Amino acid sequence: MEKVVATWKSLALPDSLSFLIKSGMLLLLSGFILYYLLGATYPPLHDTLHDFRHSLAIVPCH
Amino acid sequence: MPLIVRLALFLCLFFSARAAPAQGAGGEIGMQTFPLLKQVRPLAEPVRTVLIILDSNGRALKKGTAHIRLVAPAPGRFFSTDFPVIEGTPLLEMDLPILQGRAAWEYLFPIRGVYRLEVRAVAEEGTGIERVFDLEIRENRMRLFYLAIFALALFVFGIMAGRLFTGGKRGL
Repeated sequence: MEKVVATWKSLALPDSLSFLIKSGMLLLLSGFILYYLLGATYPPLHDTLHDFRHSLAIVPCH
Repeated sequence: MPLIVRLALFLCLFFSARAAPAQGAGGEIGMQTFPLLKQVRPLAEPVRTVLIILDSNGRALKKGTAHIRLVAPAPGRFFSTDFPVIEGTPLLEMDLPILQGRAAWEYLFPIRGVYRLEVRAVAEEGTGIERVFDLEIRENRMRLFYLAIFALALFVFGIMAGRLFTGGKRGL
């Protein structure tokens, strides 16, 4: 068990690199979600979120 | 003449030209809206616009035709409206009869911004008066409120994600 823990620790990424990867993935995911919420023209999405988009004043809908 | 005096003179001429009641020698065109423009919000309620057309003697023009052209606000530099397809495009173009110096119509303004209303009134005898109005429609306050809430939610989400990823060690 100790060996497994030691091996796992040696594989762990440095803090700064881990933060960079995690924050990059979060930004990418947030970007996708925001695009689908506010900008996608796919009809089922657009029709569902139509009123929401119009209610935000600066989001182009048409 | 010093440059500052020239500049002041230019600004005086510029603003006095903007404030002139009519662009044309044959009379004047005034406008009233119901409700007042500062109370109007996009897609909220139809606005009744009344043009008051006076001849060169200051009396109401008895008969004639008013040619109306309404152009939507130009696109903003940074932020779009919710209906960018119509920004800067002509929305209305019509001829209205002038009866006892008045021509009126109702219109539901679709987006915020400064609309350009071009009016050309032609009397029966053929004399024309032209004027351009700038109509400013303000954004619905509730929409700005929702936008602020949305921006705040994104901000809070960003802070929470930052704290989660750094385990609270980076002083966030």
